[in-house]
Amino acid sequence: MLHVVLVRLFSSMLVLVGIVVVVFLLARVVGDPVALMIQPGMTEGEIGDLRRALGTDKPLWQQFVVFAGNVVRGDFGLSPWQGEPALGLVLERLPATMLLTTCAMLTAFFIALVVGAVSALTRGSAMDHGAMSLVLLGQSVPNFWLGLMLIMLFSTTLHWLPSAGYGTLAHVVLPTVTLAFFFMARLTRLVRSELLEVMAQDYIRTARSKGLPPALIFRRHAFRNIAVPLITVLAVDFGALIGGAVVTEMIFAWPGVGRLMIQAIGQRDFPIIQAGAFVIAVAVVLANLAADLAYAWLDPKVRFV
Amino acid sequence: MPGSIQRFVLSDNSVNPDRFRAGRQARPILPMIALALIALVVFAALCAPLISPYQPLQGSIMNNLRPPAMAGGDGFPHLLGTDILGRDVLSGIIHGARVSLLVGVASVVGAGIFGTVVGILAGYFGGWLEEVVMRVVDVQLAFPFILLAIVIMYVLGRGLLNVIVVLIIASWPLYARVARAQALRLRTSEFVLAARSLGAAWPRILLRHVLPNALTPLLVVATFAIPQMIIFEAALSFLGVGMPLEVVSWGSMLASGRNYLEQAWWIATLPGLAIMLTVLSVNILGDWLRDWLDPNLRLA
Amino acid sequence: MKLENLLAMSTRGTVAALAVAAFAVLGSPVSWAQSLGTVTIGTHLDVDTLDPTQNINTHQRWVYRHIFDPLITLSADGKVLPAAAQRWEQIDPLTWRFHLRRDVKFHNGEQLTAAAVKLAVELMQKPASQARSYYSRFKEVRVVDDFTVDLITDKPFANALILVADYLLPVPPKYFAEVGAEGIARRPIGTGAYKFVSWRRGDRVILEANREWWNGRPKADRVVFWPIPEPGTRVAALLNGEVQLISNVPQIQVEKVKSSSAVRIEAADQGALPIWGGLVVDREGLKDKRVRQAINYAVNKQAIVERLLQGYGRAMGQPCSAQTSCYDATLMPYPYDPDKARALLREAGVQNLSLKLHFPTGVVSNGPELSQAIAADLARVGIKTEIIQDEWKVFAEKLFDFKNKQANLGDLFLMYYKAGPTIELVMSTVLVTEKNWNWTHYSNPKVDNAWNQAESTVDAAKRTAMFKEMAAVVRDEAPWLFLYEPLPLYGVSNKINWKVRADEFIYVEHMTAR
Repeated sequence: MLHVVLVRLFSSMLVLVGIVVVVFLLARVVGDPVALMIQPGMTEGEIGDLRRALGTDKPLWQQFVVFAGNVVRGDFGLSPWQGEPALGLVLERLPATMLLTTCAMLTAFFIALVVGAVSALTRGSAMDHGAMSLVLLGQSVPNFWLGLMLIMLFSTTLHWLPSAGYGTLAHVVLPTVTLAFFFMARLTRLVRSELLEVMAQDYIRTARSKGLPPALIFRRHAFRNIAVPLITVLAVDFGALIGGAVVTEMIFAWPGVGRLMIQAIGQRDFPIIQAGAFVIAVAVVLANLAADLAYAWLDPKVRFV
Repeated sequence: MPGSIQRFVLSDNSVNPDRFRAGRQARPILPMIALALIALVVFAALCAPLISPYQPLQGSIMNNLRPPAMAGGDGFPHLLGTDILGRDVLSGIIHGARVSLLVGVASVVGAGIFGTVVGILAGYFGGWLEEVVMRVVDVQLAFPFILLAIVIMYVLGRGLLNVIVVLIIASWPLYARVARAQALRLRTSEFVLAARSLGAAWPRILLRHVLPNALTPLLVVATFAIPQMIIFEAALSFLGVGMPLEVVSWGSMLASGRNYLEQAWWIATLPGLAIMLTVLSVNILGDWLRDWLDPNLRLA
Repeated sequence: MKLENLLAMSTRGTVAALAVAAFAVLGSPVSWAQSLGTVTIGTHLDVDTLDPTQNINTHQRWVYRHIFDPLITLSADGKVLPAAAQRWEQIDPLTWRFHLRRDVKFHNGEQLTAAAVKLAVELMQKPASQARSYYSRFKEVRVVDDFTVDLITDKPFANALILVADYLLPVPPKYFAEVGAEGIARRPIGTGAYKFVSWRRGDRVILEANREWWNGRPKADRVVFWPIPEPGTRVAALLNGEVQLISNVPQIQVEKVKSSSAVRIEAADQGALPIWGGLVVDREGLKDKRVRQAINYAVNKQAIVERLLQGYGRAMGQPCSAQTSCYDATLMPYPYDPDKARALLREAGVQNLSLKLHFPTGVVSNGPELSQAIAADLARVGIKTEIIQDEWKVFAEKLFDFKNKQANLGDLFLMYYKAGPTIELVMSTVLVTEKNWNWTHYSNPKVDNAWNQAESTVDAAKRTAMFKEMAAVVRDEAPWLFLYEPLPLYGVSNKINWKVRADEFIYVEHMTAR
């Protein structure tokens, strides 16, 4: 057990180092950061000062060492666009993104649980077919289009919900649905198939033959058995969820990390791009690590290759 | 999201295989409809210049924002209306099919070949090669796909080829992982061991024994990846970093129509519908293909 | 709502009630009914920083103007009015003297003195400041005494006051020493009618009335700036009553706003941000003025204005926009005449002309649609185009790349400029041979002369004559594809009176309840 934990921690550390390298290269590959800060009328001397201040007059490896050192201290430099430490700007937007992704995840989770269970229980019925068709549809709708359609229906036509922005509970609904849709479909499928598998197990059959009501069997046996794979998939999907959040935030003017990063890319604000990519990547790695460890802990049969 | 495609395929097959068959046999008609739809899209893509009523990029601005099925000024009705610049939406959708299919297929083939080669080599030889490849894959999967693609697009600039390149760069780890798992499994299989003991060189073993046996899961993964790539192209174009303005794509049509949702719903709605139906069809066929190829398929 | 906010509000309510009572007794000129309450303004752009010395974009200055007071300010018709400075005078051709009011205090109690003016100018001259290119013209700020300050220009400069009005916003030196530039950027303290309350980046800036304001009681209790980039959402927020004023109503949404009885459209009668196409005149194929004229005849800007802008725009045929000092009302836009364009191209012996059409994303409004409409029109007269779209930062890099003579800029690039009081500064830097915004490389001694003389000429009639000559020459030589000035559209709640100003400045003190 300890061995597994150590191996996972070590490989996560390796990935973190890789992330720092990629994040560093991101900005350097794109171009000279100083060139973007030059304003008309600046003298060569001032440009030189800027260059020295940013350290871009040094060889690449030296720049990397400095960069990595700064990253360890949480310093990604000042954002030229907003004139403040980049990491702070990113962290400031993190709660909005976390709110959106958490809401989406919970929504997807609970709906999947209900629909998947009903589908599994009534396997082969019209209801099952309907649910599975919806699932297929859910996996086929591009979320940006879904978002626009939801705005058109609930906001501009029916005036039930605000079309964008951030602030009240009503603002959360449409972005959450947009983001949750794809994952809801995936999870529903998973719940259904896991439940079907569990229900084929001997102890469930035994419980059934004893005449226990299906609802009780579900509560007592089935759900406990599907919890592990479900939670694991949720954690593992975290990265994809954040990716989806980027698009969702753009549509709904949601003040999260994703929208900040898209704006920063437009502004060529590398400190923010770097800090944002780093924070997101670290979050994904942590989520995966947590999932792996939880999996190992809940299900001792699992061994990592 | 390519990671999730793989996991999706994995998770869905880790259960008794008969569960979907029942459904499918009850409705054998669904894959047929899907196939017909895909055939239609392919036909539109191949014969776009012949069947589209107008040039997709030409239009008169004086003729703009016409609703669907209303007679246009040019004597031929704009069946699906016109956009803000007076361009025919139907012609745009027909031509857009080319871009979507091209991007979907080319990026999957490119990423599939590259990822498979790397993954099989890593899985077969193991050691440091495997370590390096798997770490690179891990690092890359830590960055959300769409974010990675956006950043690379900003470096490369808009363009059809660039979108394909970006999708290949961003999705090869998917195939590398599956291929490696297959190679790991096959490395110790009897027929590979036998071939090795007979003195076969490794390229021959990989080509003749490992690859053919690893192909089925890779094909399934690739089938599910095509719709994803189509969606990603649309997403990139939608965010304004995908296709240049001179290339008609469903994603960019949708992006330009979003500003006029209330005044001209058809500009954004119809290309989105096209994306959805195409993706849905491929997904349905993918399901069917998976069961048909190997109902007991396990990828891990 | 948080408890502390509720408490804060109820205290304010009590204070306000007391104030009403006091006014009732004393016979106040301002009755309670006229208060605007909370005014929320939905803007199309995010606020980047609250440091008024670093950013001079109009939509940023909307916010700054409420927190800070300028030395002098401009009226709607462009007259210079006193603000924190009660008087000013030009004591020699280079020196402008400002006499500050003695009763102006910053929100932290600091007295407004000449040092605050000096600090602001120095900060505006820093390399990263957007004001730098303008403010480098002030070579010295001399503190005469606590309430007298001289601004000294490098050479005689007729428009110096225009640069000071509403731009130069004094910054409190003591507070600045405490918190630095970052502190000002995040928690600004000024002398203005409204105090800073809170700001979440990407979200609302909230200000509240400064009861100790030197210039009387602020019109609103609260002013909120709320960036809502998505146009449809902005309009929806106005219609729902969430905001009272929105900037940049998309032309296509005008009908929707008009259909509501609670809100209305306010259109400016002139475009604050005219859009033009620069033709780089030393590029192969564009050297002949007939080709450049042909391009002007080929593009149907009237149709673009009518269909794309829904008529809320004015086609242009000269560099200066309508109602600016250098505009000549007798010069008409080039008519749409593709046959003439083809003839001119034939005459010039140009065949298979192929142009790179370049535009920055987001900065030129309707850029994608406009560029494609231009490309379609040019295709009809046989000119091929390749459209290049860049993010503003990238585009700007190519625009300001003087070392390589703008080699990476497209042959035809779409740009905007800022009309309004500063137009002469803008025009001269764009059109005069050696000036640093002359991206088209256009050079004509007559035009150069007109601008260089106008800069130091005070006689209005002479200036007008010079501008007329300049406009006619530029129209004929066509270093630009003259396009149009979009008329800025604002959506306004019917609860307030407010008109769009020529400089598109939004200031709640200009509003009244109705």
